Amino acid sequence: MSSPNDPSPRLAMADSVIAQRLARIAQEHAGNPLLPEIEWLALQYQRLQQRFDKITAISDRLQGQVLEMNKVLQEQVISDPLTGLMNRAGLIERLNAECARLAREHTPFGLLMLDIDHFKAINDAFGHHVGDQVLVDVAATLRQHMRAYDVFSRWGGEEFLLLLPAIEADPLLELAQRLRMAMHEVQVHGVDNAPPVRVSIGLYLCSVEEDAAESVRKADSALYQAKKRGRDRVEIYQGE
Amino acid sequence: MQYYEKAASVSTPWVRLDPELGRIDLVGESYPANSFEFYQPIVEWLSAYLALDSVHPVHVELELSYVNTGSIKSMLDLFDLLEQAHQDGRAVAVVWKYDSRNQRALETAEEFSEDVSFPFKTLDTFVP
Repeated sequence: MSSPNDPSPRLAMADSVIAQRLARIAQEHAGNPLLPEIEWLALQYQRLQQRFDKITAISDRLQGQVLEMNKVLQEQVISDPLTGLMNRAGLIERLNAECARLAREHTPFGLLMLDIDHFKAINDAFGHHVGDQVLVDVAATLRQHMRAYDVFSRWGGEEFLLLLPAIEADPLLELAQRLRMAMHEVQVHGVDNAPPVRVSIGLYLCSVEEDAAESVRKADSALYQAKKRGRDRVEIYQGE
Repeated sequence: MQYYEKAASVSTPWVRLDPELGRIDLVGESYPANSFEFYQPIVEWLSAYLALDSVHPVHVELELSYVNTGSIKSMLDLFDLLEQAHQDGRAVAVVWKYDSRNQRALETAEEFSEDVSFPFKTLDTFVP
């Protein structure tokens, strides 16, 4: 049995331990006039303990609340409110991580830059609400065709940038062609006489160590070629 | 009794202690660097108010979106004083305002009200 002077690793004593000690003291020191004082102190100790537990519980709950809010804010910072896709900031973060992985593990990754053809004309002829709906429907089509670990973002305006980890040239090209064809099937939601949706795609297969901005520039350069060569087509970066 | 009012800061709530109305208001966030220093005048004010007589009611309105651990402790100290006053027969009421968009806010309020027997009302301030 430990004495009150024992250096205890636990600061807090359970109610049952206190009750046992009190019972023992009451037995061993029956009739001692200090007994009521000791009992009173023990009660105060228990109250203090309960108060401490309560403060801790409320504090933990509030801390959890702050963490949840941070998560929501973090989501908002990296997502595009219209399409629900990741935004540019979010993709850059993932792309940086992928570039670092390539440097470490030499796993190539693909970048797919997709741009909606004649988007300005759609906005001008049908209004911005139709343009917005086209963006939403293109985003939904992207979602349907991607692998679980692909990352896709609205890069800005009518441009989407997709990051495809661990991929080779042939599957990258196949995926891009499949996406391009899938866009032909897009029916713009809730719009009569909706314009056809066509997209141009630029691809870059990154297999050497380079920085994120440089890899995006190369995908963009391929997209430029696709636009120049007549739109509604896929081009892969071949060097300048 | 002195009327006491303190403007809100980034880390402390707006405080108003009105002896005429027998009313305490705290509105804002509460995570002062030294919560004891911040809450001491409020605890002292309430003790003095309660010592004046035993009849005047106390009405407390709290709208605190975030409270740190030190503030929770001070808040419970205030509630102890209010509970004692209530046990002694005084009319005591607390209104706890919260924003229901914050899913855990009501649970926090309930945790605060668990050990008190005076009227403790929760009020959702969010207007959809």
